[in-house]
Amino acid sequence: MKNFTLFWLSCLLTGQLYAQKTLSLAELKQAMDTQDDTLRVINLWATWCKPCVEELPYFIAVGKELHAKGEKVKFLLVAVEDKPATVQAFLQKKGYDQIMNPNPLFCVLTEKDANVWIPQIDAKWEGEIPATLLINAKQAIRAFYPKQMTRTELENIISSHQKKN
Amino acid sequence: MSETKKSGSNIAFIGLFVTIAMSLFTVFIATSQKRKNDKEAKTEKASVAPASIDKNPEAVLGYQVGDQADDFSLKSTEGKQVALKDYKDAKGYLVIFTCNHCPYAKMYEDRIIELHKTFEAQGYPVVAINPNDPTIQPDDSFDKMQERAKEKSFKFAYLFDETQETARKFGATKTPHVFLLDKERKVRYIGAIDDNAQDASQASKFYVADAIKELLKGATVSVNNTKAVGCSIKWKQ
Repeated sequence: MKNFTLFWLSCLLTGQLYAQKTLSLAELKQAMDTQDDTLRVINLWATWCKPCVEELPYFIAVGKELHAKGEKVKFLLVAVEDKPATVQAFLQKKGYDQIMNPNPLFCVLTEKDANVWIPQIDAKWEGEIPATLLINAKQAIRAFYPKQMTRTELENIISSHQKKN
Repeated sequence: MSETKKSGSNIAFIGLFVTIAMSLFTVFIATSQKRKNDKEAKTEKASVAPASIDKNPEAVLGYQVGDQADDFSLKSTEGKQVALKDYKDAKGYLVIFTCNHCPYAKMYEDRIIELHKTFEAQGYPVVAINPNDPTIQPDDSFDKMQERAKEKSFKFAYLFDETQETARKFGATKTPHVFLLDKERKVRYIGAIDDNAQDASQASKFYVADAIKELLKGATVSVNNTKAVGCSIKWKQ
């Protein structure tokens, strides 16, 4: 179990995985608490959420772009309240399963009790999606945006938190 | 011979000194870095707040459990104005912000119908409110609300919060979003209907039903705030 967790953590760090994986709350917390210099952009979405699906391409495009530039930004696109099979079918249909990592990484949260995982993302959050968390534990960066983003907004919030590096 | 020994101890002394100096320097760097981080953390906190209240400044200041809610008067799908004071026999009100389009709200539609069926007779009618701007989500227009209410033969009032003033006052952020009020319109519970949106048969915690049962017994609500996923309210731009 410990080995598996370490494996997962190294995948999150190095970005060796691609396409969709499941993610437990503990694994999500681990990604959030990682002490390194990489800014993590964690987007909470669902296949049934229209504004979420609308903004996904921006996360994919910006993720690819920043990765190409060698920026230390990682995107974790976490499907919530969704079934892994539904998410996989969606990713295939959109061609998102063809995206090679490291950016972005799609996964499905396995924790079912929303009352447990929602406060872990943000204490004041009621659970409306889409929502995006920018986080880096080492640099004490934690900014939460429970709203739909335009591409420009996404680029702006990322660069505003990168400047603190 | 003694010369060599002396220079040897000198080197040892210098070595010790350098080591101490380096450790002190490391501690100093670490401390200043921590201070810097703490400072950044504070700055961060300050900058997070405006981000979360970006689109809906009132929502963050909405009702908490224990607050007294203001009454409202909103147009129902039957074409009449409905206010909480119109419910003469009510012991309380199950105010649910919901809508037509949201798949998540749809998953709860039948459960909302059931809640009304069960608890209206006991004094807790469902009062459903659609807060979405139909220019952003056409499926949530008043016409479509009327269609839906007819299709599903809603026995409860389905109201249109056209100005979004009620949703803002309550601090609703999503659909579905439940606010259970008592007779004095005091908020007694905020949150989810139960703990399993996708499969009603797999739900194990029935937050709203349990809260009403507790109120009926004259008890305080033991679990008075829960979190659940929902569709963001479509605020006017």
